[in-house]
Amino acid sequence: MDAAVDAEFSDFMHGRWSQLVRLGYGLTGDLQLAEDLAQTAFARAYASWTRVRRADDPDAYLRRIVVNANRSRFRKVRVAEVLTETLPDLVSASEGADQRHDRDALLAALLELPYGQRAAVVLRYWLDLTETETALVLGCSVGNVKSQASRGLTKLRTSPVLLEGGSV
Amino acid sequence: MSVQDERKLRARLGTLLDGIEPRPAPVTHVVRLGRGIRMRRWISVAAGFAVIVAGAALIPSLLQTHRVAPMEQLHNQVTITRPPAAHHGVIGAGVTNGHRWQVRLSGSPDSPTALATGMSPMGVTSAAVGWPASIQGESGLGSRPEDLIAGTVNDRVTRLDILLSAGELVSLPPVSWGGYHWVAVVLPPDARIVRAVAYSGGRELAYAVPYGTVSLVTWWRPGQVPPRRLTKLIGVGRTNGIAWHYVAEIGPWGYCYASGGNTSCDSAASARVAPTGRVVASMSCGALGGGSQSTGPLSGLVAAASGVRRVVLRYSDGTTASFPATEADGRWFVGYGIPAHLSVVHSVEYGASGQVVGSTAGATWEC
Repeated sequence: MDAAVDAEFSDFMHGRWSQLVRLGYGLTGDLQLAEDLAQTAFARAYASWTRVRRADDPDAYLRRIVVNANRSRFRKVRVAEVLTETLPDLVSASEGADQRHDRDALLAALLELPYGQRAAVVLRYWLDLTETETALVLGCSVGNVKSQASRGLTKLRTSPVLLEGGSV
Repeated sequence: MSVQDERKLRARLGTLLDGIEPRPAPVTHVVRLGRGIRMRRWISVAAGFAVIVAGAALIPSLLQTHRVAPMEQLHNQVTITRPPAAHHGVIGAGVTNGHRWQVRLSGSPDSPTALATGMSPMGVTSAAVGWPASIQGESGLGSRPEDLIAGTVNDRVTRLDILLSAGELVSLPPVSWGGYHWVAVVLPPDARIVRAVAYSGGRELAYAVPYGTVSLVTWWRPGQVPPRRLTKLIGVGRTNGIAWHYVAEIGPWGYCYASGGNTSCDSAASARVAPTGRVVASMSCGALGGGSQSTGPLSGLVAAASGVRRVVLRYSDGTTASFPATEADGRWFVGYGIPAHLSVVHSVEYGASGQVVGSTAGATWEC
């Protein structure tokens, strides 16, 4: 690819990087993993750039890679015995204890959802995608999106971790 | 679901996710990765074409190959050429998507090093040969992108069949070296093992479903039903401001426990519901935030007896902390943290009614 195309891809990536990482974080609860997922999605987009730039919705393409890559991420995990990786400390100095607790509780409750429900909840209620757009990303029917999102929301409402800090 | 519920959830998700600040977009690195992907695709197409042309020209019987699926249905091309014997430690040879490889063992037969063509060495252990096989796999060794699978099989095993995601069946013949029977193969980077089956003659001995692409953790007897798929958060907390969590990943691969980027798996073919003879048994632990294991902070995971619902740790400075027990597939777990420069003096385990069910020495909780 020539320099002009690389520059075009660079602009494309800069504009979407943060949102894609945040989507990955909502799916995994792990910032480092979320950045790896976003990186994978953009690398694949670069490899098929001619096709991606002409697509009706390149964002849906990227989101779909992130969702699917996370679904199969354990395929590449090396089995290790000692746990040394940690979640990054995301707490800012100005953040209050209540806010931190609220955020931790929501993340814990999200991670307890089955993967399909978690993805549907994050796509529908954080990215505000329509049911049709969510179905496109998840590669399933609109009816399936409706039921996954509804079941996810119901589980969040009754999650013991969230009930402590006020239900959804 | 009410509109109010949805609004609340949107607001809370916004607070959670919009506050995340990723590192700057690594454009240069991504472009390099993208070029690599494109190059591999091109090589794969070219290699596939070359194999078809060569296959038409050569007499297949010149090679002793093991292949089942029809060629036109295959996404990947993996051919095993059985070495006549483990001369110079060679326990496997073949061609994978045009890349000719050999896997050679060196060092002590009890814990040799496996070296595949163009890859970095991988340590393998044969001392405790599992039933019916102890297979290790690693991805991205050295400059090659392929996965290396190698390990030992029980002396009753006459072949190990590996079914890949696109339908390819790779049949591995055991080769003797250093008093053990070995199998080895190099798989394409995008191939996923769907199932591995160990045979004795025509009889199936056991099968395994991988955790991830290549980790064959647990072997099940024919007809034995593996546990249903379950992903569950079994421990979460924050120690010295550092968040940690543990997730049980249970399924046909067996029982695995993930934290951050690391995972440990239990190779037992049944859920060990309670630690034998103890109230809690250590499973894994490690330093948080890249610190040292001697000064902490630490987080860890223990298996708990089924009557345990809560554990209170007493630290060396006299303070205490309480951690709940969580159930996953009939097994109970406690995730815990140890602040920096402290150790656990002892713990007290409590049951559902708040009654004391046990007390454990501090050493169990250390790394």
